[in-house]
Amino acid sequence: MPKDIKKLSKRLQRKVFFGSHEISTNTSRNETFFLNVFSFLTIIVMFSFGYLDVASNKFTIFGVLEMVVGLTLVLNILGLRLTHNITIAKRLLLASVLTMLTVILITGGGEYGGINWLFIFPPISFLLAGKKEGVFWLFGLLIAVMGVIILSVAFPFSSYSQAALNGSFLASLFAVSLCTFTYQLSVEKNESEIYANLEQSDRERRESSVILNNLNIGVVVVDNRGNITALNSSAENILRWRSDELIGKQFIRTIPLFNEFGDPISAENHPLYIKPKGILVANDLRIMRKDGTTFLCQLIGTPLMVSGKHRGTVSTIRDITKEHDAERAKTEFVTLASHQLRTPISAIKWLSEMLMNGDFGKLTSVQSKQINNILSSNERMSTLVNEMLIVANIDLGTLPIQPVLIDVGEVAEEVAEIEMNTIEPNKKINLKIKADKKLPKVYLDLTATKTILHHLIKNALKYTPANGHVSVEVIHTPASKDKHTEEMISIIVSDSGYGIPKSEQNKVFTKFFRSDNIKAFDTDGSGLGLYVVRSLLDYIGGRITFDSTENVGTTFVVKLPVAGMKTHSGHGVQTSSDIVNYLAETAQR
Amino acid sequence: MVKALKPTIMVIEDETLLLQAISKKLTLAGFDVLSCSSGKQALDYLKNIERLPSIIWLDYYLKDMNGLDVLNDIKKQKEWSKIPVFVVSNSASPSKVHAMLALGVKKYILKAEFRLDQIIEVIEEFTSEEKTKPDRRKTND
Repeated sequence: MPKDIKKLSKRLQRKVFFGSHEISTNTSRNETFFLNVFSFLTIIVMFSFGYLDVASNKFTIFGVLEMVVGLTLVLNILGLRLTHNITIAKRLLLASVLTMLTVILITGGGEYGGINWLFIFPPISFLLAGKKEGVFWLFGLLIAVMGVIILSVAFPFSSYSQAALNGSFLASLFAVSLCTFTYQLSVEKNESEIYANLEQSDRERRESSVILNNLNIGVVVVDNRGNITALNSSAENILRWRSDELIGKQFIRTIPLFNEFGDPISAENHPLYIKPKGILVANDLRIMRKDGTTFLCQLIGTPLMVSGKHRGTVSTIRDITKEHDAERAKTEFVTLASHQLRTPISAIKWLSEMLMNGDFGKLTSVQSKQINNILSSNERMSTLVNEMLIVANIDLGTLPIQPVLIDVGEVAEEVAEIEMNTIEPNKKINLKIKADKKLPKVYLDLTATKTILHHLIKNALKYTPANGHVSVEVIHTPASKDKHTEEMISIIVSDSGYGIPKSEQNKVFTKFFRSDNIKAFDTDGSGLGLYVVRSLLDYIGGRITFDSTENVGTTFVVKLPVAGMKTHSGHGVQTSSDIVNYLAETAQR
Repeated sequence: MVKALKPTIMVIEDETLLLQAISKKLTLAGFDVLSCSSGKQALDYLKNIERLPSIIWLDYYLKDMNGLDVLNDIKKQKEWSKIPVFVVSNSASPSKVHAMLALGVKKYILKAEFRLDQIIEVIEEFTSEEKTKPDRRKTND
């Protein structure tokens, strides 16, 4: 699009032949072709006639002159076509017209002055090409020609004058005028359309530029070599660079980028350097401004495809410092609130427990049943607070992750045993735990691994009807020799349960998700379990996938990177018994 | 087998409701209980008391100071530093927990995850182990 506009504006700048109009040869490709062929045919015909005259030994000045007219027209067209030099074309046209007038004056229209002249005018009108003024100019020419003919008839300069032929010559002139006029009308119509289009595209361009410059988001355009070609005023404000200082410079060399931990991002890993196949979203990047300060941003790169080819990237840069702070404040609030909740939860727990124990006097069976209800509700609240704390700490990046040597098979058995004790005693579930016989101990965070297993096994047991099957499988995959795949522990938890409806499968890992088919019969459940699992896996660098068919069962596959589990020092406030145990162990060392 | 002298346990907990519950439960379990609702009160007690407690039950989050400060003060005094401390709390970051364990806390117990009688079991287990060892408790004449 900008290319077209450039072309059009070039045309607008070009001085135009005869007349004050701004657009000259705005003919379409077909028209140009037709006119070119027609012009050259005319010239060939003119030449042939001149040559015939010479060849048939009737060497006359008329024949020679006719060749001269043809030659000037060739030069004329070539001059305009090749050099785009209007002055040369103008002079050549004037020369050809003068030559023509001389021929007519001498020959009185001449032997061949009849319909043959018709061929001269389309090229002329083509060269005039443009506005109605061209037609008036042509009419002026006609009147001049007629005047000359009349003169040559009234005062014969030549013995060749033939009045009859002059009549047909005049008729041909009128025919040419008519053709020219019609043609020019159509040209003018095209022209006004182009004007309208130009105006519209100009307006659109202005609108877009106003929109772009008033956007709150920085926009930087780079070409396919990574050079900055354009940026809006927000980008100037955000980056504190002026656009003229940036345009033409390499984005990645001029504007340093850092990851969320403050490590510089190398050119190879630069989101804009790698030609994005689709839209690329990079969150929590830090960009360095001209003055050396940095800010947190979200960078979205969209490839600029022109007729199927990658021509560059349009990137939007959004300063997310404020929303990041707000998000952090919100999460910190949740952490604090959860902590404050823990104290009353403890009080309820302990006091109810003492009541149950008869520490405050003996209870009736109805009373102890109700106290039990209070206790189990309290337990749910306690679980919910714990889960919220984990989520909040993951969001804050403060959940401590400390890989230690563990046997995942043993951990799975331990967790499964605890979970089996929580299901209703009369609900029979066939639970199988399979672990690789040669399963090595690997470095994984114990709490994270337990939490993941806990939620997956708990869900499997809970959402499988009585007499169903649940299996937990632990598989160790060593790193491939080419290091293409890293060392992994896969945990596969499958059940013959109710399954997750297809329509809801895309929401499984969202906060507070509970599928419709289980909400109907089970009201207990926070909907945080799988969200916790997913968040934890994102946090430690693992993956989770699942496959589910309603009323057939669900299989979750978790992949834990053995080497890659990220260590987080965790200055957070969340503690669980496992963390405490781990800390106790290390403190004694 | 009943000892003439009940073991004394000092409970430092700023939540009155919890303090009452803990005291009641510990009394029922056969302990002499010294209830303190602030860190300062606990340190004052230790300074003026005739017979030092045999065990300290410490909450981390206290209104006037935190458990780590109390612990530091306790460990500064040679006599006090011998008293086994159990931290029962909800609100300590892992680094604080680690610091307290390094200072010689016998056990850190997460309040919300344990029942009272479980905690008392843990303490009783510890005291019965201690009984087999020579009595290190200080007795003032």
